[in-house]
Amino acid sequence: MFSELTKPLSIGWLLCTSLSTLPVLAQERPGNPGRGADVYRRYCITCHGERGDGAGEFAPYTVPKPRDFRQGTFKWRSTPSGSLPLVSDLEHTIRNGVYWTAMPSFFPLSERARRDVIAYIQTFSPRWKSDEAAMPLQIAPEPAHTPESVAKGRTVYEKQNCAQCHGDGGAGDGPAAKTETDDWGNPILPFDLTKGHMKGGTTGADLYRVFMTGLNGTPMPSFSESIAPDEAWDLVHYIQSLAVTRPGAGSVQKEKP
Amino acid sequence: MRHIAVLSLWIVTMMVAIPRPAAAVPAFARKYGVRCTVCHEAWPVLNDFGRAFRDNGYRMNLGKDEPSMTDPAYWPIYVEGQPHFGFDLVKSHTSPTGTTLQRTGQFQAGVSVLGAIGTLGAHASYLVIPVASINGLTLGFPTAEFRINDLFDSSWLNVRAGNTEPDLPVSRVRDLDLTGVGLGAYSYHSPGSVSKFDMGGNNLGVEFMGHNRGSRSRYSVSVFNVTGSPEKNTKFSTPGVSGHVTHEFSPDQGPLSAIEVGGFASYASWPVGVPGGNAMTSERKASTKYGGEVHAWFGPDALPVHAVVTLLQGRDDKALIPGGVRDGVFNGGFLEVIANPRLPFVVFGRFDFVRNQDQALPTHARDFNNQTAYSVGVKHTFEYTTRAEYALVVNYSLSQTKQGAPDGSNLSHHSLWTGITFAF
Amino acid sequence: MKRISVTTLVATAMALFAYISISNGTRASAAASQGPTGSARVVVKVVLTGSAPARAKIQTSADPYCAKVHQAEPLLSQTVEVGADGALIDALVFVKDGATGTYAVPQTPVTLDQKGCVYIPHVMGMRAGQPLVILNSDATLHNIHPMPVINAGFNIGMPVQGMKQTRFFQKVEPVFHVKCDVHPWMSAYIATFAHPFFGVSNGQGTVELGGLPAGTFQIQAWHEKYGAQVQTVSVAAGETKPLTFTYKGGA
Repeated sequence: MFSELTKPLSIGWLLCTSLSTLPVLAQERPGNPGRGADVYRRYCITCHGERGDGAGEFAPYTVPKPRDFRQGTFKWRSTPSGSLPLVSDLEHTIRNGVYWTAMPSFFPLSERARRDVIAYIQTFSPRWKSDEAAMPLQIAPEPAHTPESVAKGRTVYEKQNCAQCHGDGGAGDGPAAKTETDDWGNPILPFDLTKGHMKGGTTGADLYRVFMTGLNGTPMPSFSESIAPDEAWDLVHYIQSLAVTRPGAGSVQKEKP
Repeated sequence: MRHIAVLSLWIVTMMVAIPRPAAAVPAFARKYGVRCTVCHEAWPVLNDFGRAFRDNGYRMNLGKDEPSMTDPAYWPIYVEGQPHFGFDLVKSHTSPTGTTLQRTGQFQAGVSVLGAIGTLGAHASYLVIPVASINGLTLGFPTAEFRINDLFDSSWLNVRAGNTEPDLPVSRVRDLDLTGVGLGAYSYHSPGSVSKFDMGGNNLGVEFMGHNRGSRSRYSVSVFNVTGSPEKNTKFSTPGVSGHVTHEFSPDQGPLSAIEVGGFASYASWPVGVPGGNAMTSERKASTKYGGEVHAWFGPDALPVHAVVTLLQGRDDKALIPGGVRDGVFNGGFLEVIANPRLPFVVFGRFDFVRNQDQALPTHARDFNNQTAYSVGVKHTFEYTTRAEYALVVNYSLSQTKQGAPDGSNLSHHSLWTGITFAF
Repeated sequence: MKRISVTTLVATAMALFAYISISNGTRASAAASQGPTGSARVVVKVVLTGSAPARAKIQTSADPYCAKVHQAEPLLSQTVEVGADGALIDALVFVKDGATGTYAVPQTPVTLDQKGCVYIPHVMGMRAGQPLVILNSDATLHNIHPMPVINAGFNIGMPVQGMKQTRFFQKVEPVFHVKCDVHPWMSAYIATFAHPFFGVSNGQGTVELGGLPAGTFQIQAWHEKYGAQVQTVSVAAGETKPLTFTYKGGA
């Protein structure tokens, strides 16, 4: 009796889940820049501007400044320093937003809308046509988060001299903090690692990517040439341990991989 | 017979006069640096982004929601206004040419709203509209709510308390139509019913609602005291309950950008004693409504053609209808289409109907008080920035009521609304 | 499942190959090096008339290492350096127009050293596609952050003394800035060329553009503070011509 009742339910569930997995398969599909232009004009234009120059009407009122798309310079990437991001990197940023900034999460939009707007964003820089596709960073599986790993991560933090910008306690108050500018000459502060929520994503891998590929357009360099993969995970664990839990620092809208 | 005609007129009047505040909130545009187009498919109709924002308790959930994180120059206050010229023509159809019962054309202030909305902390949101007026007639506290978000750190449980709007397939406070016609199935009652429960209106109560990330699946359950009942609201003596569930999915290919299906139901009690008598001691009987809706968005995601079909069945207990020999049953619903061919321009239209199935009073013909309404309009937003917006609207509607005129003939009501809406 | 593992394998192999080829700085096809083969010569002298601004002392205390290195002798601004008789040092001089031949890209790397918390050299020309070895001779963190417009930029953290990086700028590009965000005073300028006729003025303010073919050339001098000047010169085979660029300093 019970199974007879649940049967149509489970078929419905299967249908729902298969429909919701469709977009995952669709990731490889190219976006439509024409439709993307409509999406851009609806959601993006107030900050990123009509010409993609990051000079929209709200740009003067927000820090950090909205991304100027014309140079192909993007912070949140899985690709080496200086390279263009992967489409999946842009999708990650658009889907999850950038914490602590005016860039919201566009998760409620359909997968197709995001794919289309990425195709349109790619029309702002000629590099999307001329540059060769960059090889993404390979991230080894995360080892256990142990006190030993955190302690080792601290030595990595010291050896790499992260404190020069981020400060000894990670509060973004290192000796070089006050003089830094981004590639457009705007003052920029090193991130306060105690804030409890990273800008580029909530997972350890998101943090791993930041210091192993750098943030293009900012003073944050890539340390892929000086940090070994196992050291990198230790550093992730150490940086995570710096976070001070503050009310409201967390979010229930946890990012799904 | 007379009181039925009076009731019909009252319904027509109510449909015109129902307040529509909280339609759009430029305070959020200023706070988050977005234009109305980000949250509204066509202002004031919410899109998926706007609905998710609202379901999250007016939060983006990216660390910039709390008052302490916003610019000191930001005030969570907004103003709305709808100055317009309204023309109304009400006719009874005793003869083929009809008899004019009312012909008025005048400049009106429309709905003016001063509201405050925002977040108090990480988990608390509020909406207060202390001043709202319709054509100069001031209403006190039409909407006031307080919401606690993400109980137990889950987006599946949020609690909202106050005089709040219900969760329905199409929100009346976010309706493009400004003539006040339509969505009549929400407030309709079987002819003769004393219940004035309006499923589409604000009711004082508590809502429990939840949603997944992006609000593609969501539920809402409200427990409330029926507004307008002859007993005091505070006594919570005419309880009601309503609920709504929806699920939306987006096919990745093809002409459909999204489909949403939903179901809703309400149960509202009402005293059956003589109005003005000792309502506290009177027996209560219920009117119920249940139905479902399908939304379909065709064409580009950002410029869709949005169609909604909503069908419902309503039932008024025969005890609610003096002289009723059986429960009054009716079917109703609407088909609405909103087209957004380019960004600041919207065309909308709606067909509404209510068809009686079982009349409680044997003297009534089956189609007595059946209602049909048509509404079309265009809206062009001249300027929409992160600060303010204003739009020109031309809107026409026709509603027809079977045997709704005082002389027992059919009644028709033409309404033209032309003016501007602004929000700051 | 099988397909995925093959793809992963291929991707890993390619990544490995890319890594090796970048870090070794070896180019896949090394064409026979073909330098400037002409016999004409232009000897350029860059002069600053009037007074040069005093070289400002740079506050290096933000980094204890840099402060220690410059304890005895304070670090001075590199913006304007003048030798004897107004010789303007660190001006980039190059053939802007007229060098039409094709010249093989040398595989010998040029070096940009981060030493004593300054870039050495301060101004440099190099061939597009030529390896650039970036060296950190300091026991502190430098980040090498070139900001080209035509080429792809990068920003690499170099926290370890003796660390070397080989990078390429594949396209021809006018002078662009290189900065170190950790030490805001650190500044270098690089230009990339399709030909070998360029140089940076030395302590005598001279640059020798040798091996030119006979012909007429537009020669440009560029200085960080005083900007660009262009002159046209014609040289015959075997001939040596002097050319002077004069910049005006303070009164």
